[in-house]
Amino acid sequence: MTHFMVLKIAARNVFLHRMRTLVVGSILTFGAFLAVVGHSFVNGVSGGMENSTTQSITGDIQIYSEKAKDKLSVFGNMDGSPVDVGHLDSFENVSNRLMQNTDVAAVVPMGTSFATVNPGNILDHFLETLRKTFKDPQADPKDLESQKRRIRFLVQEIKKNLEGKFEEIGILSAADVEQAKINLEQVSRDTFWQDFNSQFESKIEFLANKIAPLIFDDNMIFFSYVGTDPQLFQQKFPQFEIVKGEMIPAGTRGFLFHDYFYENMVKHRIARRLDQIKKKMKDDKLTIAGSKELQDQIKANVEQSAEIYLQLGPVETETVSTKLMQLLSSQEKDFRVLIKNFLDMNDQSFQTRYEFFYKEIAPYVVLYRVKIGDVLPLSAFTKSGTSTAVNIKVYGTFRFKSFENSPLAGNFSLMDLVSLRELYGFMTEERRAQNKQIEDEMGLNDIGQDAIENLFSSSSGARPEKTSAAKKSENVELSFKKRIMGATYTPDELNKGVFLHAAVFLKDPGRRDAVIKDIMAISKQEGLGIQAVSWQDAAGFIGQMTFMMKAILNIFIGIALLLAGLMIMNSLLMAAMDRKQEIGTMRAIGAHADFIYRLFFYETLFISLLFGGVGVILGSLVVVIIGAVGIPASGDVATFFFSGPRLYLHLNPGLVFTVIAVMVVIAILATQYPAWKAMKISPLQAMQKRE
Amino acid sequence: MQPIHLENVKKNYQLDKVQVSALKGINLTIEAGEFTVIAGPSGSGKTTILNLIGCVDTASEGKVVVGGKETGGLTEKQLTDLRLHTIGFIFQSFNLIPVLNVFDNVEFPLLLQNKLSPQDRRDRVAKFIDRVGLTQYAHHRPSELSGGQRQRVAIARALVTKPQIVLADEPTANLDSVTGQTIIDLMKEINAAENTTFLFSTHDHSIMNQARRIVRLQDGRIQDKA
Ligand SMILES: Nc1ncnc2c1ncn2[C@@H]1O[C@H](COP(=O)(O)OP(=O)(O)O)[C@@H](O)[C@H]1O
Ligand SMILES: [Mg+2]
Repeated sequence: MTHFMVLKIAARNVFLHRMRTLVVGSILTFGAFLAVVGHSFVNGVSGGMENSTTQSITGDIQIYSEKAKDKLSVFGNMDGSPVDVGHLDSFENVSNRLMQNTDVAAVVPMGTSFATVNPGNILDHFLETLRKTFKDPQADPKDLESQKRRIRFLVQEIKKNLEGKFEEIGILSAADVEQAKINLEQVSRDTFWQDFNSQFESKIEFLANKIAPLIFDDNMIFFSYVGTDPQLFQQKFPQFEIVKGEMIPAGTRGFLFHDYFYENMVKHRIARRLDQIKKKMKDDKLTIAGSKELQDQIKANVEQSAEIYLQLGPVETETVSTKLMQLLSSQEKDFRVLIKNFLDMNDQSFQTRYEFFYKEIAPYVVLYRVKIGDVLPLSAFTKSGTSTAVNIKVYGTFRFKSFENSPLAGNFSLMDLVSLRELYGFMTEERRAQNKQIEDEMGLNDIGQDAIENLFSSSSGARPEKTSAAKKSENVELSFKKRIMGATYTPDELNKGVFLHAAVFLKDPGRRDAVIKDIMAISKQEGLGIQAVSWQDAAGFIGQMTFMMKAILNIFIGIALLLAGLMIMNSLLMAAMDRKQEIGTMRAIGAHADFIYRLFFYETLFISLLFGGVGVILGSLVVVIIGAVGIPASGDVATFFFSGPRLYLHLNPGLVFTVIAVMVVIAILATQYPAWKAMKISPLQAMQKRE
Repeated sequence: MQPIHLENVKKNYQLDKVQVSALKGINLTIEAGEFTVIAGPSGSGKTTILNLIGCVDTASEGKVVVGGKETGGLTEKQLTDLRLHTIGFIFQSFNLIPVLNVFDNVEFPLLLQNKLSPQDRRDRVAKFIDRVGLTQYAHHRPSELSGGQRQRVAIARALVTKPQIVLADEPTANLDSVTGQTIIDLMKEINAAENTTFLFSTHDHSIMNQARRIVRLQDGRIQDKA
């Protein structure tokens, strides 16, 4: 019955002291607003990071050797260096044991590491095409000539570009510079080209060895990869899908680029920038005129226009030149200037020039430095620090549905576990010796690219003949050995062998911590030699980041609310002192001490809920409105954190309740001391004469 | 049963190192329905006596019986309840709750008592506001009223619970003499009609003389009994 009266008095007091109420209120509003918006934001980021991590690489739990030197961190260390997590001997054993746990849905074997591939520069590329054309009996002689002209043209461009610049570049020694000049001079002469066809092997070799290196273009592709059972991986990471090319066939060694990486790191730089500009203009409604970012990309394209004109042969240059002059209605004769002018796009010209690029220019340039179907020479450093190389066929690109644009989910390219073992240095000395022996026996001691390519592309083609040619007694063993180093592997080789870590999927991800404990206990009991960590731990600094973000945010919110709480407390104390007589009167009339407590509590509660409520509502509105539109990621860092080009926010009802609950707790805490003071006010205060 | 009975009541105050004896052995009994004034010069102990009877302070020695209850043995809670249900206070400086209007102020003790139904409560409040002639001001805040009007609100508030005893410490001290007189008249009138026991203090002679019984206080002692 008295509650209503208490509320009335409390509310009236709140309005009576408007200034103080407003000051305290706005801090509370700010705190609540920050809590709702901030947490929705951080939850959006961490949820995105969690999903793009767990559903692209880590699963719910990761297991790895308990003897690991470093802690598992699938994304490597903060400085980009790899971690040494040791290895486990038999995937089958571990997997079988873990699958006995009813919470475990799947176990996928893995190894993550870094590798590089040097696909060769544009001259290498042209020379390779030319070599193939020479070897192709059906090749069109006209095509051959055109290709030769293109290379000659390119060589001249290289010469022109380097004229007087050798010293500037400063990579070569003086002697090398002299030799390079002589070489360039030699290949520029007609004599070099006259007898080209009859001696194409040595001429191509010369160009590849002496001239191609003069393109000082860092063409190295550096990437992270996961070696796994590709079929199992595809099945257990349900978001997995092939974008270009095809899935690595079962039991076959092969490689898939992540499509995000392929598009961003392998694609022709100018094409990629054009794609990005187009996307930004469409998705984020940016304009070139209004966005520094887009202007910078246009500028970069203009500066790197050589990447187009160097890749075009004389015929193509001619064709494109004519069309460009038309498009730009220009009389410019210099193709380089034309290209530069073409690439200097603005909002009006962008769309037509974008289409022009893909229609008229793209067919003549190397759009992707590595093509689907290519056999890649991958290099990596093994655990022991030596460098290894593996030739592996690129079957296609993949991505994870709904994380197409997440750099986090796009971090790893994929290969089979057998290749990983080799690349990572798990080919035993014994096996290496065996391989050598097979090479010798099979006459494969010169494993050129073509030979390897044959092995990969036609795994059942050429080999049976050679096998049948071998002695019968060695037949079985030899075919087995060949499989090891060849393009295929057996399920046993995959499953019984070494792996570095594994993703464990749970039926109920909420049971994660319990299952981690279970696995640790089982491993200890049965000597499995494994340890289990949550996806966050496995993600290393990435996993910690969401935790850090939350912590920092909570500190800010905490400070705002602590401030508000202290101010509430202070003002209540002052109110208690100011209203001694009023409180004394109430007490004299017959109000119990708890009535006075409630009076103060309701007052704070009223302020907290009113202003906290306003903050929550404002915050919710912002989350709902901005969240639906999405916050555009500006720049790579934001794209990384947002797990895509936009961050969508969701309003979590639990969060709203939590914030409101926190408001009540603040009200309770801030009330205690002043209310206690007020309760101590004697009814005698009522009798004091008022001044 | 007498509503108020004091036996050899002493009250000492500790002021720094000096002990002040405000009351030096008071014996006083007040019968139901009496209209009594405690008279005496400033500092004679009027307020102290009323505070003890009003259960807002405790005696240093002696026995204070209010509404049939010996207050010495009561807890703080019990004393509060005794105040709520037995005593009505009229204060020298009116002591209305500033954020509540006249109606709410008068209703306040009834809400604390929580004995009446909402309807009965509203009727009772309206009746007492009418009784003090402020019906048309029922929705005004105290700050919008004159001193006399405020004290009449205070009287309505003190009487609305129909207490056994009404205590008033110099209720007219803050009012001009004409207004003071009307307040005294109102109190007398209610005393006559409701048979409520009134005990109030004053040092104003013209008011003193209107009481049926005067208790004269001097230096903490009752001088004579009328
Ligand atoms: N809280 C107190 N502390 C110390 N002395 C007090 C206090 N209240 C009253 N006194 C003293 O007690 C005596 C009686 O005071 P009081 O009852 O207020 O007299 P009156 O109301 O007749 O003016 C005075 O001497 C006064 O100074
Ligand atoms: Mg006094």
